Amino acid sequence: MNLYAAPLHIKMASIPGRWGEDLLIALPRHSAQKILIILIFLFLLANLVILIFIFSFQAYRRVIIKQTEKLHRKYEHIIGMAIFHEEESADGLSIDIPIPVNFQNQMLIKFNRQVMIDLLILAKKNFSGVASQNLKQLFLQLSLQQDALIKLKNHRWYIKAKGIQELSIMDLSDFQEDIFPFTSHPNDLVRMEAQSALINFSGFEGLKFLNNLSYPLNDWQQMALLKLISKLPPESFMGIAPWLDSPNDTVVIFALKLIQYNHRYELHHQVADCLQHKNPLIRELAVSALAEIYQEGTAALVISRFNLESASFQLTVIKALPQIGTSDQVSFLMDQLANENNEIKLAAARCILQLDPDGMDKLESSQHANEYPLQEIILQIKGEKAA
Amino acid sequence: MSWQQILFGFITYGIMLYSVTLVFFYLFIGIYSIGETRNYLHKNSFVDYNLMASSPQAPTISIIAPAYNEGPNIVENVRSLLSVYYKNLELIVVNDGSKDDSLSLLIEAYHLKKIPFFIDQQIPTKTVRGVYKSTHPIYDKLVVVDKENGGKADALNVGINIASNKYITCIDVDCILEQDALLKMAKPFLEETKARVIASGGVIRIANSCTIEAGRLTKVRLPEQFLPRIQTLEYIRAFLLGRMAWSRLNGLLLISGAFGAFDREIVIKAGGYNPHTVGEDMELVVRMRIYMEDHGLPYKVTYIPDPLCWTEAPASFRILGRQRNRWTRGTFETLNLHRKLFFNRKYGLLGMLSYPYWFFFEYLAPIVEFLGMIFFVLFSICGNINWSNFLILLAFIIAFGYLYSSFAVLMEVMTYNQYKRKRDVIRLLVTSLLEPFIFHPFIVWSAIRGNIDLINKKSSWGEMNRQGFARKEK
Repeated sequence: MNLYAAPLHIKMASIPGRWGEDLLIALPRHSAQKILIILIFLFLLANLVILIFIFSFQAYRRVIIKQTEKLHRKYEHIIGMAIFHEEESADGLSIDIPIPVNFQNQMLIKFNRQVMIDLLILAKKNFSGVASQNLKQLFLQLSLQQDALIKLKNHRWYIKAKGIQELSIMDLSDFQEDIFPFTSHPNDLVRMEAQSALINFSGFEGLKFLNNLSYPLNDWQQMALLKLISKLPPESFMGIAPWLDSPNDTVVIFALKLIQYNHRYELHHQVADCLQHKNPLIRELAVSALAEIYQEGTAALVISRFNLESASFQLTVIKALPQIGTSDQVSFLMDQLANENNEIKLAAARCILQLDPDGMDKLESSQHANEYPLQEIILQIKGEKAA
Repeated sequence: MSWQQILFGFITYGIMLYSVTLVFFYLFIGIYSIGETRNYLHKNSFVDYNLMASSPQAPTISIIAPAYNEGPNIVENVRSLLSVYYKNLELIVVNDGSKDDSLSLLIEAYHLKKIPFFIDQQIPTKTVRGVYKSTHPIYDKLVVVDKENGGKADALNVGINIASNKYITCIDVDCILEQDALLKMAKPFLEETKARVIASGGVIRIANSCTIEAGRLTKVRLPEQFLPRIQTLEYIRAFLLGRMAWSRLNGLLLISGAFGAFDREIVIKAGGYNPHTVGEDMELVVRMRIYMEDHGLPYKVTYIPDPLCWTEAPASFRILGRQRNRWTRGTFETLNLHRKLFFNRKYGLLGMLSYPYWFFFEYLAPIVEFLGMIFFVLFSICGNINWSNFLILLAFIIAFGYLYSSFAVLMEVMTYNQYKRKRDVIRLLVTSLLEPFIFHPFIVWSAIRGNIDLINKKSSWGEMNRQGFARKEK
């Protein structure tokens, strides 16, 4: 940006004496000068305020960092005690963590409480079992859940999201009902935190928000949910089929990924129906999902759509064939060596080599084997095979 | 009224209007960028990038790094790029017909072997002499391409043809990437559901005087030398304020050639980099946007304020002059190639705001300023200057400039706070005081020389000799 482009333009504006004066005739000359002088002072004043703010902010940040470090040293000791606390009540639950007498007083200060919350969250992420239960117990013992609940009521989205995150990480499933409405909050981060919290609390059942989700579920959110789900026992994965009929395309996409990454063979038929979906991305993802849950006839099924679809879909089909195809598909693949898309040609040649023990001979004796680009494609896959 | 009076009236009022509009644009950009940066930082506080680092669903990315006569540092630079934290990654180093021993150094260091490789020439390029892959599994992400010299754009196009991943990241081979740069850069591509993200950029920072250890930046320092330091301030203004505001408007025309990520399919459909311009980075973004507009496809060009890439800034007036000369030519060539956009309502914001802004306030500004200076000297010799008006207007605009720079420094301190020492912030602010008197006139002059070269049809890139980072090798 030419920040200082303006000064000399304005210098020009004052070029000829008369015209410089004319320039300011829109206002009486002295008034115009006065306004400019006032503006100059305002700018200088604003500049001074900014400078003071910069250095005050730096100083403030240094104080906050020091104060936080000091509290960390104090609180880490208490958290350590909680982690290694081994006493249990008669019913097997943790009993109160012993904490220093004056500690409760410190927890009256909001800043201190937030430091404690942040430390507990950090520790909770890294521990499981009894230690994790003890950390939750300490959180409740200090009534820190009240801070999280206050955050849920805040009008700023990032504070709301933080409150949800705190309750979720601390496994406070009693507040599930408070969190559920946020799964359809207009802000995507709040939605995402609430959705993740429900899975933390209820496992696969927590995905019930998908039944009525009106907002799109972006790829990042899907990735986060799939990661959470990957930790759950696969036998709990029930009720996916209705999501394949959702009017929300992103829910269908998510369901397809769920099926693909978790090999839900029982849903082959419903996934096959998605090959007729109006959204081309869903049709393409259906092929990828079918490649993971294939049956006899899956290859023929996806090939039946081949000529009706885009190059991207076609490439997905050919890349799936080494997994789901047999030597029955080799003649189809040989035809694809004449496809106008070179990427498809290359994928088809690779696939032939994998499906047919005589694949290389077939490739070398094909019609255009000695011409560009097939000649180079064959050389490349020969090299790949040798490596 | 005589014709002279009409002419002078036109010049004075025209330029006044121009300047006032420019000042208002800066005010708007400064204020408008705040919301975008704040929103990003709040969002980022919830992000766990490890999620993408370990997920099989993370988008696949090919880094393309063109190299020309980079022999002294090529092995180390490639090692630095290979150490970037990302799972689904491919690194393509394109040796653009170097005259030095770059290729043989790479072959030796990374156990490379020439392999038969089919190149789908979706974008026409100069001849590829060979494709090399490592025999050592530790370097299996690395692909080295040797080709005839054809310039940076041509080398990038070869990389695009060879890339096997969905997204490409184009980078200067001598840049230092933050370890999580790709994780951060890839995220915007996953977040949009209503529009396709076709390109994404991140903040480029100046690495002069910083400490580099084993290809990684370990200590951030404000540049000791004046020129790199003043460019640090310039970059902070441009990236933290300018690009963030344009990103919020979805009106960005430029993703820096030093580091930018693109949707490979759209790059190919738009025709790849143009090897006939020296402003290939801006030209590609404009062409990709035109492609999306012409096909009625909803799209976005995004920008994130994280410092992702560190580069060495020119430390001498000679090299800086060449760089700015080239930037001027690149801007003109892009604007000229796509002049159909100029106030073309069919292209919406692109035609009605982004293009005219770049034409009037990025390309024309130094020309108007230079002409202003000539008129100013002429009229002051003739005694036709109203000095009181002049001095007030000059003070006004300099005060505004300082305010804008201070605001940029404030944004930096409140967001990424890379220069933590009080001393560094003071030096940055003091540097801004000198900018209008030392740095800025030189930049204007370099832009004028760029225009003169355009008239003379000079199209060279201009050598960019680097001093090298302050490396602390292990």
